[in-house]
Amino acid sequence: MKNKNYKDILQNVALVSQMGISIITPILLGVLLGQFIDKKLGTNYAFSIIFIILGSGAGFLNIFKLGIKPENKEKKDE
Amino acid sequence: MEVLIQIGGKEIFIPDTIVNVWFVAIVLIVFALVVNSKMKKAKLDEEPSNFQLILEVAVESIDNLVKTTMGEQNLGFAPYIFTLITFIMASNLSGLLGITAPTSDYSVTISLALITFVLSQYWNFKNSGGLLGYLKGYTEPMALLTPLNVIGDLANPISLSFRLFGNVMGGGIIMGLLYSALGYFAPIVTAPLHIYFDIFSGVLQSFIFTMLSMIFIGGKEA
Repeated sequence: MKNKNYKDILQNVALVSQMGISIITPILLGVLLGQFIDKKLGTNYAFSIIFIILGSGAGFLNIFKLGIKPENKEKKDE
Repeated sequence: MEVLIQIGGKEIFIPDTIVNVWFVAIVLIVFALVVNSKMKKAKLDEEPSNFQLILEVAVESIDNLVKTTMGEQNLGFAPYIFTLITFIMASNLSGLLGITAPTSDYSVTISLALITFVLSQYWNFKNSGGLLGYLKGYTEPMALLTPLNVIGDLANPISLSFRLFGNVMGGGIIMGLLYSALGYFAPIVTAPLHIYFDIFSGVLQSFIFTMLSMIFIGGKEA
């Protein structure tokens, strides 16, 4: 039992500490993708803005998924 | 120790981190071969040696970890997870030998993360039953979120690799600065920092990397 608790703590450490970087990477990906498309098409900022918004949304969705996975598993185990 | 290879007039520069990857990989392969030959000689009716017992505990704990995180049906991933954790741990701990840790090179961590990414996509594809089911998975929970799902999925290997790279690289830079700043007095100050950056952080990061790999691979169908 004690061993299992220890594993749970480590799993939660892994998940929680991943959340911050999980938000920032989709936004950065969106910025880079948007700038790349803007340069290719010659548009000013249109795609950058669209992809930044999409990236922020994807970041939130990512941490939502990350948080909900262990929850699902616990329900399955019960 | 950098290597410069010349092939047909073209120079290929191989940085020291990549040479250290080979070093770590060769050490692990030789270790695995030695263990393999020892395990083949082990007999059931004899008392197992200490070496065998330690390895059995290691293998069993990884098996249990995979079972609890990914479920009983995904136990086939245990060898991959074990390889991942031993390789990353050996890479991070190799900083103690005075060589540059292989994981402080972004090409190493991104390749490890890409293996996990491809594996998770393949597993997702296989479990969702054909191309249509796989593509439908991206439209959940609603069709409007498809671009968010795609960007989020593409960001996973990047975040996974950057976190390992950043942690090891940051530790390496701080240690390098301290060594150059303090000169002969460095060993007094840097010894406890080595415990933190190389041993504690290294082992924890390798565990976290494998934990997240398991969640990304096995969490798809959950």
